[in-house]
Amino acid sequence: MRKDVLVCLGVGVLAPLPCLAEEALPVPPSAPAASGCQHAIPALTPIVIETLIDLGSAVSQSLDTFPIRLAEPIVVDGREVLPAGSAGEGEVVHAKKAGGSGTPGELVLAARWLEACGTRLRLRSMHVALAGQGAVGTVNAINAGAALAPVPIGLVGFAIRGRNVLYPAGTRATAKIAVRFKPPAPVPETEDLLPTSNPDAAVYEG
Amino acid sequence: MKNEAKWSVLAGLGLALSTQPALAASEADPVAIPAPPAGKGQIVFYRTGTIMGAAMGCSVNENGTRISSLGAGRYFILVTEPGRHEYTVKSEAKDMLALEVEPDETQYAMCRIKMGFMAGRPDLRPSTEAEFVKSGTDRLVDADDMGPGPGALRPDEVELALSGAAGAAIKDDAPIADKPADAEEGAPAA
Repeated sequence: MRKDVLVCLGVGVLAPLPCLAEEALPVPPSAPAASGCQHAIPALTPIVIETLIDLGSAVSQSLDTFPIRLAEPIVVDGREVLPAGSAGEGEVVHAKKAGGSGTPGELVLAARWLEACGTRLRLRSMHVALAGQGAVGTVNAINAGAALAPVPIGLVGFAIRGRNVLYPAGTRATAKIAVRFKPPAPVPETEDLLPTSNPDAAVYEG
Repeated sequence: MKNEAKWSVLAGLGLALSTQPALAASEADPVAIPAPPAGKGQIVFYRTGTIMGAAMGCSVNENGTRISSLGAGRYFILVTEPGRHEYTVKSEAKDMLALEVEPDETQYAMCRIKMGFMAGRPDLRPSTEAEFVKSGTDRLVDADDMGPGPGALRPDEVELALSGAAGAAIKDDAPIADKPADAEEGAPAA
């Protein structure tokens, strides 16, 4: 330890360098972070999102909203312009439970926005419009057969239900940025020089 | 002998119902759907050509106004404004389907007639282009079965759109467009 200090003092005499621990060295300014929202995002840029809760024709209601997350970073011209993880919101456009006569459940989802860079980026084109497996054809076939049967077996068709649609949490889907995002203009350096804590200076007009 | 004949008829009917799309149509060229006008979206409503409920129409309505009636094996194209739309079909029971219409894109919805007490019940559900093509539905609804609600393209309008507006739609694999202008940037966070 003492030897280290002596060496340090010696070097300090010979060279005009401070002899300090490495941790104290000023860190050079790093390159602009990819998450800095400094790049425009063109309209119709495809993105990958994932839903964060379970959705389905039996558990969701029309006009419900649900949380989404940007599952993969947005890349434009090979450059990452928005990292994965931004939160957002989607909407259940249509949900209908499966019913009798073989009617399948239905689910239509839309992505609405992502919160990023202090704004809400509007989204579109999620393209999730699903219907469960129906049994309408089976019911109709039974009915056709029932027309010739001596007993009213066609009534069984009312009890045959289609299947519901399940869209589990974590399911990924594609969507698009609806409108072009333009990064906010940088704050001019001169604005940093304006006094902010002295009220007298703020009203000075001389 | 009598029983055998009865089961043969049943089997024949069952087969006819289970092979719903018209077999002849599967070999024909797929129906050409024109791109929607710029800034508008469109929905292709179609109905497969099954025997069940063939005599019934499937009238598609929006806000209580009839847009068009779908006969068995028919389709029509509805051009409309982007946003959420609710469409209903009704006979002895009512069914509703809401869709999110996206600008410059085409969506699909299918009507089927399912079992009812006194009459068949139309059922409207979301569909896909692949299902539409697979269904073999290839006959456009006649012009006099359309309306009075606006938006359904008449046969001559479809032909015009196919001849003049090819390529107007934004396909998924199209290059990224840098539109609209700056005035439409993302809204400030609430």
